Amino acid sequence: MENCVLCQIINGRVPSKKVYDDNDILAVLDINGSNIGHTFIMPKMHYTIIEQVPSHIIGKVFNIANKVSTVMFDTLNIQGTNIFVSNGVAAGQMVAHFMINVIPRKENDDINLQWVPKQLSEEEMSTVELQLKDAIAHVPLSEDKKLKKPSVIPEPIEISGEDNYLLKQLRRIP
Amino acid sequence: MAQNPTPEQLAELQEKLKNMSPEELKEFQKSQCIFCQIVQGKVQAKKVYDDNKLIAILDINPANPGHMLVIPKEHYMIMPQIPEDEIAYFFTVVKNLSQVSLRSLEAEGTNIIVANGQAAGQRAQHFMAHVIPRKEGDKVSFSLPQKPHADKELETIREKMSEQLMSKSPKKEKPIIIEKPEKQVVEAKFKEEPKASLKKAKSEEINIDDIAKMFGK
Repeated sequence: MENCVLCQIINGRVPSKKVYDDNDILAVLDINGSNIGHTFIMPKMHYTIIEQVPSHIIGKVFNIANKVSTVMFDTLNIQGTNIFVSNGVAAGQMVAHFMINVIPRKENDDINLQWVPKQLSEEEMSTVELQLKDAIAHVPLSEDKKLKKPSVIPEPIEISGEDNYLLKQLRRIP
Repeated sequence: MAQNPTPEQLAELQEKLKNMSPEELKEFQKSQCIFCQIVQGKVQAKKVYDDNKLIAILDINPANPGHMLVIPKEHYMIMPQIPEDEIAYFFTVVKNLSQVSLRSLEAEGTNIIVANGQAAGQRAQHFMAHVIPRKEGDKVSFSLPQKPHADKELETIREKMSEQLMSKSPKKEKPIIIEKPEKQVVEAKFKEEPKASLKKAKSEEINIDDIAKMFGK
């Protein structure tokens, strides 16, 4: 993808500090990370949002996140790590290329991944519960437990019309 | 669950724990874990998804309506304990739940958060992921301030991290399969003691003090 800065990092046109590199996945340091060591993990194929990413890549990318987190504990003087995904502009996604943040944490650093709990009535909670349950019942959520590697790398998964607004929003990102 | 025990009760408990087998200790740990209790149906929760490996429930302190916690049924306390194939399955379900919340709740985005360690916001000794539906103007603000770093420092860290990561790297073209992983390093993860900076969570042994502390919660 020409306009995608992460694709340019992946194909070497933009320099980066790589910490992990294989056929499918790249992990690089954020040079302006909130805490030093903040790492971005991304599939080499250009997927915009997590919903498009095929299962075998999801598996790889999160397993590498797990390893990066462990390595951070070993090599940096930290007290925690967060794995953080921003999916969609409303969730803070800045680049239209799916990636995971692995963020090293220290006590009293100035990162805030907390929230003020919203006070929802029992009725509101039940409504949401039913909406989700209903939607989940109509979608097969658990894919084949044996993750098969496809013989051909698939195209990004097509999302139906109602989800395209998410993609349209992301395409606005320069 | 929690009443502050007297010193005598604590001492009695510690004696009891010392004499337990690893299986009994595991069962005991589970009985003290509220999320295991939820998995077993002993504690109420709004469950939206349930299969033989994991469940998803609504968080009772939600950032937004539809805020879900995805929880493995197995009592994994920290992420390094979880085998690769289980991680892959877990996050595939997380991805699908994210998609469901976009559709059914008309969310405009989702955040997925895992907290490893207290400093990262981990509150329970049971691994979980948050899936938080987002909308413009929802008053949820996660703050990751940008800070420049010296190139030298970055380079040092890059070297240290990549040295460890590239030696762990799986062979190219290898799919994730549900068999024992070949790489020794991955196996060692489950026998190794987790680092002290993580909340103490040994897969076989239990730190007696931590169990005792749980009563204080």
